[in-house]
Amino acid sequence: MSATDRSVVKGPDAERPAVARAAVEHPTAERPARPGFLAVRLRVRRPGVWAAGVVLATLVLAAVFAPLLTSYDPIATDTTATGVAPGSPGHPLGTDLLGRDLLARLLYGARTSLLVGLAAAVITVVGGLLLGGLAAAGPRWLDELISRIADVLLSLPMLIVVLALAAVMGPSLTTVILAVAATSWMPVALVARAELISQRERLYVRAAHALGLSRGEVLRRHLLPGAVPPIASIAAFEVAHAILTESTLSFLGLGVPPNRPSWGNLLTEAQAHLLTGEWYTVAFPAACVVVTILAVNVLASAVDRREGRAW
Amino acid sequence: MVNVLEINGLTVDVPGRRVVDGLSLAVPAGRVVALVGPSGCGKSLTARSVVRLHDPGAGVRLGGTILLNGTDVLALARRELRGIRGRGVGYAFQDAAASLNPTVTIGRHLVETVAAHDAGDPRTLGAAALKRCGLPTEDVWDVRPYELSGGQAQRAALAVATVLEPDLLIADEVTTALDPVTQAEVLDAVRAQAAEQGRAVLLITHDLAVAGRWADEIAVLSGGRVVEHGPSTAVLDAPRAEFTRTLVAAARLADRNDPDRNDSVSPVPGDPLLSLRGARRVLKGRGRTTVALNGVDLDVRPGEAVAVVGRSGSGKSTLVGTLAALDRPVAGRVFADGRDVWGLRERERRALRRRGGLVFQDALASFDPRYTVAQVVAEALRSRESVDALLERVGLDPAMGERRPATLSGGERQRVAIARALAAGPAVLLADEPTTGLDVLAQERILALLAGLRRDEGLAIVFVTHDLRVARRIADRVVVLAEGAVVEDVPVTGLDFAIHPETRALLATTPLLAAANELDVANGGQRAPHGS
Repeated sequence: MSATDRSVVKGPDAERPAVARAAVEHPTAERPARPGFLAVRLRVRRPGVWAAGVVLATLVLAAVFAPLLTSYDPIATDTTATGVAPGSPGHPLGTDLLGRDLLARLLYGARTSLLVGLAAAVITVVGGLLLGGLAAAGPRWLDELISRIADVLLSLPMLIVVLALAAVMGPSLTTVILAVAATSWMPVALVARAELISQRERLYVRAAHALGLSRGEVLRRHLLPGAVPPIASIAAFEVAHAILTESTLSFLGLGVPPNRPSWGNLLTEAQAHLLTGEWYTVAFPAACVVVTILAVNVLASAVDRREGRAW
Repeated sequence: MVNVLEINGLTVDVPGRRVVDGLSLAVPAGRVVALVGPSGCGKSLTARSVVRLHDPGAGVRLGGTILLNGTDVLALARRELRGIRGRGVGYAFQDAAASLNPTVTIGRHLVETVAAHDAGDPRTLGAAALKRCGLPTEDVWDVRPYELSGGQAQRAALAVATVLEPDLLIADEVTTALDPVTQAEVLDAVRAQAAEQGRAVLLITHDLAVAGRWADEIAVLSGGRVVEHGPSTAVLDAPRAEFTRTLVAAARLADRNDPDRNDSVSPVPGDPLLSLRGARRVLKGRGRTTVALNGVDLDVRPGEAVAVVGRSGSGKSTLVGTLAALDRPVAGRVFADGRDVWGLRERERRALRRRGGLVFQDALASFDPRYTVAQVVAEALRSRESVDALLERVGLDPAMGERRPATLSGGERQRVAIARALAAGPAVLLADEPTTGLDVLAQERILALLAGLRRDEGLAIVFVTHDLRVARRIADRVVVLAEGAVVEDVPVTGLDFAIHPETRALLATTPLLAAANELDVANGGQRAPHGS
């Protein structure tokens, strides 16, 4: 890729699976700057952003191609090799006390955790934008309704709401995703609403109306791009939040069923071994969670703060 | 006479460029010295250098000497400098409302300034300062800046600047955004500071006529130096420097009827393109309701240029919004091509808007900050192919298309705005104060561009302005608004014989540059036929 077209993100996305691309960068996802469409560009000059992209892509690829990277079944126990330390032949990251290969469990666990994190973040951001947009553009009662519901949900401890949902719907992947989305759309909606309202009064929005643009066109071309930078940073937070919530719910036994490996489940099972010498059963899944969250945050920071400001 | 301020060989460097290059200027006590020049010539940089009030992040470097009562300001330590700011030098900014803290009352502004210098009883001093600036203390002391009108806010800012009786008052473009009646009030107050209090006043302005009417001396700034300095009448009547002659000529042109205009197309008698019938629009704010338009009737015919003139708050901008089919009147009707705009379906109304061109006073704010010049224009065109042609039509280099509007000069931005307004080939151009805040040269070029568009393409123009000089230059017909109502609707040639008090007030307060003999020539040569 030449140096000149680096300001428009294309490169690394191309070889990344479509699901991940849409999820990780939505709504900061960039299309080449067509006049009139989302005219926001990511400025990817910092090497850290590239590194974060590569890390995330690697994790996603590893999750997708897990069967090719390990020959072990993540839930098959092997009583001849229990509690093997990392670095042992055949088990590069060791095994747990039931003799399950930790690398295989991490790889298959990534499928669950990343799916939950990204899917919940997408639902959160899209839903939040939609509700925030409705509140900003719709009639006053709708604005009041959405804002007050958001306030009420924000004032309830998140875990209680999630626990209630999980208790009603039963532990499953869908439950986790919906529970996370239901408890985290509020910041997105409130920020989107505030940004849209503050921009609506700007002169360039009036100028756009004077050009005969419809409300939808004005929203798409002038209002939404301005709201992207603050929402991008919230979106990154939401991915991290979703992965962590999955871990928490699984830890409490209300998330992903225990027979299905996820980073959260791995941590749950390992809690007993934290002080007994099998530190690696905790350290590796925890490291995966931390690295993913860091990478997503760095990527979100690539949306130029100054975009959307008159400078 | 004692020189309060003496600037010798001042140089001001901003990163990459020397803006002020060896400027020397003296301001004696009791005199108003106007520093005049086009935008970007370093007027404000010079004024700010006197109190070293530059943006610390901008990397401004100063050279030369600035003597204030014999002390070199540039050699002072920060603490000593603070002693001078406010006490030795009062500074009034262009945007008074923005220079005052909106959460703090006028009284507290005054008290804070007095207390900072520990200079005596704040209430007495503050009241005296307000009185000198023509504001009754009891009315404004407990009021916050945004509750004042533009002229009151500017006078309050002047009071804050002069509360400690500084020897020097710097008035930096204090009336640029004000209408002529308010401008006269503020500048009379500035002048009184010099005449009655014996203060030295440095008046920064780009308006030669303002300088001629309110300043004793004029210093013309060009290329970072003072190219001419002398008594106002001498500089304006017999400019010696080439640059002053250009400025004076451009300003004179604005004062006179434009010779080009006589051969321009006369309005086509026909059905009006736009009309208002009894239009009434009410703005509801926090706790107060303003009737912005109160039963306005107006017709704009093809090829006609109508100037809408009035003081701030007279409803001019609301009128434009209503004509542009953007704002819906609460009563009355808006017709475009004979169709009732608000009886149409939304889609048809949008099509109507597309066929009208709208230009705003603050061009930069009317562009999406994310867009380049080409994108701004292309959005109106709905294709990209003829962006270059449009930019050329308004006298811009097509290569500018890739730049951001924020990097252009004020005049260039306004051209981009005009290019965008012309993109859809409108029959009417609605221009809301497009030349306010531009210097006389940039203003002249914009007016010439509009006159050319009218002549060549028969474009009708509705031109909102608070400047009667501009109205005379561009319009066939002048409509005077006062408190949301049309109080005068006369051909431009009949303006001098208008009798409504509002019109008379605007006429009386608009400073004219033409010297006495020139005025006679203008009156005798062009206006006499209508007079007799």
